[in-house]
Amino acid sequence: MSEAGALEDESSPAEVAGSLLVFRAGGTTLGIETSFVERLVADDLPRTAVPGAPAHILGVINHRGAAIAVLDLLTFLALPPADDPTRRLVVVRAAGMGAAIPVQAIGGIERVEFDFARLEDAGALDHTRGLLDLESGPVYVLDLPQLLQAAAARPS
Amino acid sequence: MTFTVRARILLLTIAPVLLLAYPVLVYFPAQFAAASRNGLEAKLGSISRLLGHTLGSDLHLMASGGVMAADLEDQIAGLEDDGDVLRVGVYSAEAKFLAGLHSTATTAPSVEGLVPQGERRALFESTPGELRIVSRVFVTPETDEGEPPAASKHVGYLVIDASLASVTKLQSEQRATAIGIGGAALILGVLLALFVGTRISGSLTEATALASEVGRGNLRVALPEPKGSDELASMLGSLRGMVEGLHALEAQAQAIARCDLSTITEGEGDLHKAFAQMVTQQRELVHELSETATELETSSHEILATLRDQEAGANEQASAVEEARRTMISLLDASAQIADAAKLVHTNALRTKESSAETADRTGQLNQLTVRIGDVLIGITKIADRSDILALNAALEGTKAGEAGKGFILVAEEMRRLAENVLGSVRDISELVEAIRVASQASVLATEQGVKLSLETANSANQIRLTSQQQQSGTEQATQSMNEISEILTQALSGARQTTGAVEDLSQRASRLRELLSQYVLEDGRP
Repeated sequence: MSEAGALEDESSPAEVAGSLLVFRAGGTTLGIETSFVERLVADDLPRTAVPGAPAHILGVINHRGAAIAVLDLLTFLALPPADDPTRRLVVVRAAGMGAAIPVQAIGGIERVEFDFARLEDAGALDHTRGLLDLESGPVYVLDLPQLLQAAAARPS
Repeated sequence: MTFTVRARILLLTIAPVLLLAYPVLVYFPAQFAAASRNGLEAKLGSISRLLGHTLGSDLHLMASGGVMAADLEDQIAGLEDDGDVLRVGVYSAEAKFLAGLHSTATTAPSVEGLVPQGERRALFESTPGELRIVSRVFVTPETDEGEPPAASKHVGYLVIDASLASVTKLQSEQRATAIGIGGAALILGVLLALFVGTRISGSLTEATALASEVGRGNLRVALPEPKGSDELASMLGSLRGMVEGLHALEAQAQAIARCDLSTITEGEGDLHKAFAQMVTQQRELVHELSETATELETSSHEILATLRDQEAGANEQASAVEEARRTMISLLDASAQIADAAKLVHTNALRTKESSAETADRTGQLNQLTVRIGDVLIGITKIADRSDILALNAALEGTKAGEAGKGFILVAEEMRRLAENVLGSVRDISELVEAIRVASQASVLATEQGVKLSLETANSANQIRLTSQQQQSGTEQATQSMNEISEILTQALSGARQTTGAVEDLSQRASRLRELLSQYVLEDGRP
């Protein structure tokens, strides 16, 4: 929360209105601010394995002529797995890094007004800003810049 | 042939008279006649000898002519007055008639019966009622003294015929006398026999009438008191004793008739002994009959109970057989219905097999269509998925556009919702198609199984039909047998009922016999 507090201190007022892309990774419903989402594609692009990459990097794909790493949130965040396969890739960009996150399903784009400072504690789940209660259920709001930095920084 | 006492007495009286009639009427007259004839023959012999001596010299002299035929006739003329002499003839030695006496006869006798050689005379009956004596006449020539006597010389024959009329007359007179005496004796005897016979026969007739009445069973006849001590009185006394004995036997017979066998009449004689033996045997017979009747009654009761059980069993058997027969008939109808139903099932199974094969073909075609639908759905799914992504990206871009992109966001959301609906519909259709495919495969399998089952059903139905026909035939035979058994059981039941009726009648008769026998009183007073 300290990292979230830093972001809040840098750019965000205490309560902002924004959009949240809600998706399901494994058995967990997560949310990413749409400002970090670049594009959604079908998870049918050919992946190229990267030798020596960490376990949460599944490989790279060619997205509009650029190589983007495929980040496995289940492995990286130690989320519980799901029975169904991933069907979408959420192409995100933050902190100057891009990544493609495979997800099982896209819940939609939720327009919300939220105060990151008053989000409930996500508990043991790292790299989150907190837990947000929506009509469709609780959503863990990811701190994507921190996530991507941590993913990039974690050794294999 | 039977004779009355009177006839017998008469016959016994007449019989000696008749026995004496023969010597009186035949023998004695015949003896008198024979004696008379002997006298006549002796007389003729004497005459013949006397005349022979006289005629011998004349016949000797007649050869020398010294004597004539008239002299000869004079010699025999003395016989003319003899009533017995009929004819006299003198013949020469050569059987030449010389002289004769014809005063009592018209013809001279002939020398028919010559005297046998060596005999001097012969006497025989020349014709019925006449005797003839023929004598050889000899002469002995005279010799001088000192000379041996000369041999006798046959010089002729003397023939005398005599009548037997005197003999016959004497015999007739003797017979008439005997007849007169015998007839009188016969009449006297008959009268005497009739008198005596009537006396004896009258008493016997009266005794016989009484005995006849007794013989006819009438013991109430009035028997006269015997008079005297002769055989008739003794007979009446015996008859009286016999009647008294019969009275005693009658009393015992009446007691027996009253079933009283306790006493036996004392008496001598075979009849009393026979009566006593009869009573004794009747006692034993009644005793044995009583025991036999009791055993017979008991046995008949037991037999009756057994027969009633048998009759009840036969009734149950008849009912069971009748039930079985009705069941057989029901089975027969059921077999016929099963055969018809099996035939129908066989036909329907063949039709089902054909329709199942057609259904399998159609189901295969349906399966192919579902595969094609699946392919189409895959394409639709891809399109919807791309539309979903496209709508999400559009909404994302609208979000980034701020207020200007709100409308775009709405459209994108609608597109995404549409895509999701399409995907949901596709999923539903896919599930339906999958269900159809699974159902089609199941249908194919079921149809194939149905075809197989139809064939098996057809075969089974045919087998059932054949079996039902065999069962029908067997059931018909069984029904026929049950009918025969039912008829036999009916006859047996009828026979058992008749036997039961006969045994019931026997039991009643045994009871009746025992009751009748219980009326008898035996020697010890027990029934």
